[in-house]
Amino acid sequence: MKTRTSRTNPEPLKGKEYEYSSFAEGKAFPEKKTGLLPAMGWNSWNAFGSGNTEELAKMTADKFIELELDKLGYEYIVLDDGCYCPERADGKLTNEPVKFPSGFKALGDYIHEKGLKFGMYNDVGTNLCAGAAVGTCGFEDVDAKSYAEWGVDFLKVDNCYYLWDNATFSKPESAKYTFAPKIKGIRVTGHGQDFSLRAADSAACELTGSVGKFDDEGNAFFIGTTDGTNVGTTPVGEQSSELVFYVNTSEEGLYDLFVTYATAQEVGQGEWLQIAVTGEESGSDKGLEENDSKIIFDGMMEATPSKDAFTVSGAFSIKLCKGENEIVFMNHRRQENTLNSYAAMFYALKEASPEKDILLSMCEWGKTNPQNWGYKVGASWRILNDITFCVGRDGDPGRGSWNHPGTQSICSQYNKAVVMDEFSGLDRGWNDPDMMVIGMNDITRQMSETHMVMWCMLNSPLMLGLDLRRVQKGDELYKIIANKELIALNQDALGVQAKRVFSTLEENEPDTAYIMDDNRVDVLFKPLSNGDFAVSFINLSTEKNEAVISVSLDVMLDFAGHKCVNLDKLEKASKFKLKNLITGEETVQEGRMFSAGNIEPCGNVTFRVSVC
Amino acid sequence: MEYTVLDFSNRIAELLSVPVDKAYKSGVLEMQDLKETPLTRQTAARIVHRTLLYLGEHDERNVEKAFLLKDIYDCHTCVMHVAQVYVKGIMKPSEDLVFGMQECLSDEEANDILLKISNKEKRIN
Repeated sequence: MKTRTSRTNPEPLKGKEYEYSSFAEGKAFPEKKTGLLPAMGWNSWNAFGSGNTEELAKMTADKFIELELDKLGYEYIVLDDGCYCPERADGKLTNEPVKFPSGFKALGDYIHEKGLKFGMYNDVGTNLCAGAAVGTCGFEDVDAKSYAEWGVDFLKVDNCYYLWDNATFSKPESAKYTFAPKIKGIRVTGHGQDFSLRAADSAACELTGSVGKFDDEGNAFFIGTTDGTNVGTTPVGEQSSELVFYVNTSEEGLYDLFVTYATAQEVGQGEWLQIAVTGEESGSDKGLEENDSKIIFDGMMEATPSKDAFTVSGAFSIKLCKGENEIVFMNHRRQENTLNSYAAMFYALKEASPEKDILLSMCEWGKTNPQNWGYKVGASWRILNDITFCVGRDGDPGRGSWNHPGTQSICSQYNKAVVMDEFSGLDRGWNDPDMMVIGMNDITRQMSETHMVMWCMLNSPLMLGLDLRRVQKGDELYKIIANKELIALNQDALGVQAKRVFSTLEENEPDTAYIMDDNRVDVLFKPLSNGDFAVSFINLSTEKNEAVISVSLDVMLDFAGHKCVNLDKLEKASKFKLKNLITGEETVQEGRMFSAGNIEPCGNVTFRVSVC
Repeated sequence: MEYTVLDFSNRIAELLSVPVDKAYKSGVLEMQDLKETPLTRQTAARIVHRTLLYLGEHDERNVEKAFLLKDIYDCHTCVMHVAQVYVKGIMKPSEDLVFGMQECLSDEEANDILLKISNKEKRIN
């Protein structure tokens, strides 16, 4: 049996539902089970890195029962990287014999016997991030059968060594798949007409989106999709750029299209090009809607001798209508290929376990903006690179951070997730700001409480990342991870991620502005299924916020009233019962202004509010 | 003959005065470190860091300097391994502020690293 993938190029897209143009439709693949709440459990990575073992996993399962975490909703025990043999055996995945001597079936049985669920890890690339050459690329069907045999309930799938993008450990030249060639211009001939259009001519064309650029000579490049792995790239709005030429013809019919282009294999300039034609009648012969675009080419262009050596392509035959037509040059393959790869695993799992919904936890680190397409196959999608790189090992809890300029902190993850609420929901899935760092060194009680509040308000998967031997029932850590009132927000049946309705650093668009300055207080509003709502005042600063922050319920409803089950009642209400979800204190308030002051450094004030 | 992971693993086991099998079972080495494949710098960083921990040497707490390496996040599973061996002066970048994760180590470079594990005075600050 083969032990290496035979794939040499991205596969053709299997249907319209895989295309970028379908992403905004919001329709999950029919086979995907929707209506699931965020997953809750434990993942081995933050606690033990690649040093996790069968013994440690069993101990964790035992601790789940001892601490009665299962009764709070925590159910998955997930083995992360470092558990397989470094090579396939007869084409199949096998257990690392020293760390997991009894095999995965036996470990899965042990976990299931405790009433818990069993999760594992793999990768859409050729290798796992820690190096083992056992990625699922080309082995989806074989691996899915193994996971079915082992009784796996949850699969986290990473993105290292991915062949069709410049992901971690991928070849840098894989960028050739994710960006279009640099384009100088086009020529369109036919029916006695001859159009020569330059990318530099703003009257003839338009570069859409925010990633595309023109070089000094006016040639268009960076035609592709942003890379969301690191902090700072907003997830909101258009993430891709297309170069659109406008051609006004006097006669309908077939025309020849020639493209002047130059290829490279680097970020911003690649070899893969997609061409679409949009005209009032361009799709009519395919039964498409009027003004729908028709992709006439989706593949590699012949490489040019250098990145600046422009050449003219062969003729593409295109059908244009009389009047204005748009000829669109694009490359959406960064997103489409990644969807294709995760979908291959999704369908393999469905085929191997038709009676079971194995949760697919997508971990491509936000690289291809999975908030746009992940809902089609995934239960959740990571939004950034890791929350910590100082992972622990047996005897060392590792370290987390409250804030950091990179992705490796609670605030870094929160800052992006908090503007992503419109991408999540029961019909889609959940934004995943990574496993929690509660219980790791350098994370104080105050930080842990606020971390838990953030993840619960944001409907993030609640995956514990600590060595549970550090927790005893009733102790400080236990009270935080076992806070039933907070978990109830995360697992509320309405399934609405909180919306940021106020920030001390953003007056106009607190719901969508990606803010990375942590010296601020945010106010989040979360509608709940019984008509209650939660409101949370979060001080991201490491200094105490002594000012009183007040937000009217009217403002909250302006932003998210349409998501409330009892908008009419909330619009009229003037008396409320407030329960502080950290202290448990209950108060009654007259008036529609909600306030909090003297918020501790890295602290929060979070209420569940009922109308009296 | 190219220097391999197995060569390096054998040298590490020798340094720890244990059989290579024990170095694997004790977690200093991974199963994949027992193969005749070229030794990359990121793999060497992981093995060296785990060796230091096995020897009881504590991690450096302040590793911010390592976050200036342009490719530090190219290997998210080995960020801390690279950071520790870099900050401790055991492995230097292959070029200015680039660690060179996937570059292979020569016999000579491996010898230099092994020397610095046990001899702190040889480390570069």
